[in-house]
Amino acid sequence: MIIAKPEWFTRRKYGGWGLGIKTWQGAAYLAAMFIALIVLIGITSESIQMTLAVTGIWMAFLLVDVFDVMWKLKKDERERIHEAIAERNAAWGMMIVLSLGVFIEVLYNTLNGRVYVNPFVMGALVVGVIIKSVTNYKLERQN
Amino acid sequence: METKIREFRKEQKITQEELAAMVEVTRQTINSLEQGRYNPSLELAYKITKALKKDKIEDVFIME
Repeated sequence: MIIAKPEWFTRRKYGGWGLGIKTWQGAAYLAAMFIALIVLIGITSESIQMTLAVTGIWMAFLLVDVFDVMWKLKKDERERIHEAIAERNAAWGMMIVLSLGVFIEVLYNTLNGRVYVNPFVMGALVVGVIIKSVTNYKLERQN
Repeated sequence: METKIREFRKEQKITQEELAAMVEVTRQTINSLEQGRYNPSLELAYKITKALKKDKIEDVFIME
């Protein structure tokens, strides 16, 4: 169920990803969501399993709503260019740190006679390569 | 890119917000265009030209 409306929010430009509050409706929506979570936790406080389940459902609901708003948020061409450049720069920064992390980990483990690389770090790099390739392929076909 | 958006906008007595709404961009984009800090797409240049009631894109946008 989608409740939040794109006109209540703005793209978060500073301090991470996601949404920023634009109107009082956006602030009221977030306040209502957090009050609902507190009430749900209070109601289910006798069973930890119930609390976890309710929190999980609440998080899923919030994620669906947030992604829906982010998908529908209108951006003009200048904003799209700004967002693309900012995301590219962020991806480069993360890629450099992850690659450095893999290098240091391999070096450290090799010196200690082990062969181990964190699968999540390698996974992030591999997923990045796949997403970049698929995006370029689709864009080349489109225009 | 230099533009005559501000001049023609004043002529038409419309604000940056109003022009932005007419061509479906933000006020900041109109401001950037007026300052010559942003080069628009052909589509946006065309929309702005029509919104300012001018015939040719080159009347509004001056290629240096």
